[in-house]
Amino acid sequence: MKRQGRLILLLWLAWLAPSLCAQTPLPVHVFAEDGPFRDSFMQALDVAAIPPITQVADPKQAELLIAIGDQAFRRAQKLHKPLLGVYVSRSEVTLAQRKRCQCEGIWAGVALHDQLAMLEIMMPLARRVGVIVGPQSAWTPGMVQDYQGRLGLTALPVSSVDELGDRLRESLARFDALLLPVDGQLFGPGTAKLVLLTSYRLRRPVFGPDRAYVQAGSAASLYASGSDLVAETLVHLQFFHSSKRLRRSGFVHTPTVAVNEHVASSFDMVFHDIDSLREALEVTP
Amino acid sequence: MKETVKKGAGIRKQLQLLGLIPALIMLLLLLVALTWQRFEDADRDLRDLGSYLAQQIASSSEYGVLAGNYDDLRRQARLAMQQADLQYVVFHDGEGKVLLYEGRGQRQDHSDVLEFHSGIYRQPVSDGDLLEGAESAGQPERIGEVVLGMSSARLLARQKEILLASLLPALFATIIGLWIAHYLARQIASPLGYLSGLLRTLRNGDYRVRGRSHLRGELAELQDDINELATSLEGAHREQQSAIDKLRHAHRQAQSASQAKSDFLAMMSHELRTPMNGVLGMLQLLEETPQSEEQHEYTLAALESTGHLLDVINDILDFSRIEAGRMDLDPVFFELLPLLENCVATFRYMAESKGLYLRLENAGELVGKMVRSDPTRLRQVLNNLISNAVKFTQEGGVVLRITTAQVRDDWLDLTLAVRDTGIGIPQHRQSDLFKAFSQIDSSTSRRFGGTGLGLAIARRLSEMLGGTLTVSSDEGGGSTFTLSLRLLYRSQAPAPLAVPAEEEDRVGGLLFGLVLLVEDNDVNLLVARRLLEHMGVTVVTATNGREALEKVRQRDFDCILMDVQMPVMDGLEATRELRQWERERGRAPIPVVALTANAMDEERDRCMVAGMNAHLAKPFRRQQLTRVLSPYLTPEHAQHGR
Repeated sequence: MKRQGRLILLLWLAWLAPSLCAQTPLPVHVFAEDGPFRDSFMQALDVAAIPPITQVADPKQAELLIAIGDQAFRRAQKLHKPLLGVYVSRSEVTLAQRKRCQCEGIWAGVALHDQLAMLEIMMPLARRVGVIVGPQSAWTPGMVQDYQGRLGLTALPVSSVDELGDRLRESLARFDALLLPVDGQLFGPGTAKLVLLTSYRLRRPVFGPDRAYVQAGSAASLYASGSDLVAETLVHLQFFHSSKRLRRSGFVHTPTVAVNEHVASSFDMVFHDIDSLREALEVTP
Repeated sequence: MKETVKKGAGIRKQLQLLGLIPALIMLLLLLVALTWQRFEDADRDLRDLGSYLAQQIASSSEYGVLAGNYDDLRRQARLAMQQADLQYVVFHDGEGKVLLYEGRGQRQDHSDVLEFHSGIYRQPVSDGDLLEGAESAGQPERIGEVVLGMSSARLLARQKEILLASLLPALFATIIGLWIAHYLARQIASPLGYLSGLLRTLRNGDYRVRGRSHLRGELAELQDDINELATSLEGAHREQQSAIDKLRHAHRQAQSASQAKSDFLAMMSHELRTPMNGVLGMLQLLEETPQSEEQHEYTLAALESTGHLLDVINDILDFSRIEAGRMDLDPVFFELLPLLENCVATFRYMAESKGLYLRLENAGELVGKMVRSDPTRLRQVLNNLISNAVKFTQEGGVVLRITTAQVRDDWLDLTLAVRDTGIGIPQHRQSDLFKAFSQIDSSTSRRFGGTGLGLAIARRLSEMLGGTLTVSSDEGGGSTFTLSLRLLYRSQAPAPLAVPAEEEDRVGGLLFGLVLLVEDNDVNLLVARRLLEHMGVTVVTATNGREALEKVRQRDFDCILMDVQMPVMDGLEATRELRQWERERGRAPIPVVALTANAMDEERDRCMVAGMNAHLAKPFRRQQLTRVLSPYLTPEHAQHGR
């Protein structure tokens, strides 16, 4: 599935290429915290050259602002220019749009369906899946309830980190697995051990929300890697460049998969290696 | 002074050992026990630490193992590795697969590493009542294992520290113990050593010493006893010394008396011999002169009497030499049988003249046997016995019976029994028979003559020869004198030994040559000159040594007869100068024969040392003079002489 999506994206870019080449470069300004990710991101945009963009130092001269992260997104909103948030909380984007901001965003995290698809592949026998949802989570309780798949999803709303432990101990035993959304408030480094240890003590595997969690002990996760975000940003830039309006907010279409082989093996999951899992997910790397 | 002999360890050393050895043994046992216990403690501490660490890591690594969080495991491992002794930490999953190895250097077999294993368990959730899966809470699931490799170097270092920490006090305790033992031993041994020295001083003869050390208890009593002993010994020593002084004085007096007697006897012998020489010589010259039968009979009687007188003088001389301890033996190997035959032959004429038989029996037992003894003294003893036997036997005869018994391979028991058929000796007189100057009775002396010294001399000589001389006799039934000797012998005669035997007299034989006669006594000069002239030699005379030397320088002599005691220059000095003069001139030495009235062996030795060739004691018989001169005055010597 992921591979097909990327193929379609490339064909679409190829179709647009002649017209793009004839157009003037799009002046953009990137808001981001200083750091290696920012440099890499900006370099990747320059290298891509499709669409043609010009990174300008003065955000006022930019036609489109790109903000990486919630804080940068909030800062960029003050300029009242078209704004594309990258790896921004869904709630943050929604909040900004309510304020009539001319902005869209690439949400932090991946789509619930994608994450569940991976879970189904790795745990074919799983039926009951708990999904912890907090106020800042990428997924909302409504999204969980709207799920129409074969799995029985149950949203476990948690308002703060303090409730997390109790909620896990109360609820985990009823599920076959636990799914975690991207939530900077709930699932940071400080709570990973709590979540994971509690889950594993109750022999319940945890999926999501990102690569760091997989490294910390989550069984597997689809996550938006840096290249995924660059690719998704380029799609948004191309759309803006051609239509002079922002593309609708959403998760990355081609997330990356990460698996904790030790945990996967210990739970006897259907998993042999990362490549076979990618194939199964039909997601291009 | 007698040296002190060390007999084993001294009391001081024994006390030191007695005090030290049990303490050392106890110390050693305690040291071993304590060290062993501390070793065990150190080992247990290390194992406890290892187990504790393993358990701690295991309990804290649950999450890492469950979550496959290698960073967490590595962090746990590195945290544990801050313990210096920890060499490696290995995490295994539930199936034993290695999850993580964190160690110092490459993973390898560590022979000196102690491994500690601790299981990693999935812990139950604390709020178990809320969990449906709480069924496993009572039985934790083992999800892995942590293995710690802990170096035993620390244990070894700790053990070394313990050993050092134990040995140092032990060494200190040993030194203290040694010092205490040494001090105590000295406290006890010093008084004993002092008292021992006191006794040693007493033993070495210093009885004036007294113990004055301030001792207590038994040692003080011992010192008092030693002092009393010293007092007693000093008194006894004083008395003993006084007695010894008296004895020494008496001994010196006795020695002086004995020496005076010997000197007197020697002087008397010399003084008697000198005139006797004149008498005997003159009688011998008189016998040669034409005489009537009556005169000849008188002359023979005078000669016989002179001979008896000479025998008496010789007996007295021998006895005095024996008494003075100056009678020396000259033992040699010689063939005994010829000596015995010669003794018998000597007296055969006398026996036959009295109508007696004189036989030698069992002579075959001595054929081919050489014995070691002094043949001269043995002959003297036998001559005495045979002479007595012949003298005191009027009828029958005398038998010399030989009996031998081999003791070992080279020793022979020899018995020579002289049995006669004479008058016998009463039983009660036999014990006095061998005493000096003793005869059965004075009538015997008057009847048979003699001084009574013969048997005494014979017994003394027998004892000097290592044997005994005994007598068995019945009055009127004859007597048997038995000489028993144990002699070293050998069967094969290596070379014929010249047995001093009575050589054939050369009474009628003539001598040749020029003789210098040196004699200060006119009578003796005359006697010797006449005897020599009758022998056929030419005589030149001198009256002292100086004159003799002058004449020697003027003429060549074939022989010199030299008196010893002379005025101006004695014979010994004259001989020494003669030999010196001969050496200086390179001349052949002139034979010098000493003529002296001193018949002692010492006199003979002095003559030989002075350079004389022979010795002839005065008074001498014609035959003796002929015998002593004949080697030098034969025609051959005279012709080839000077």
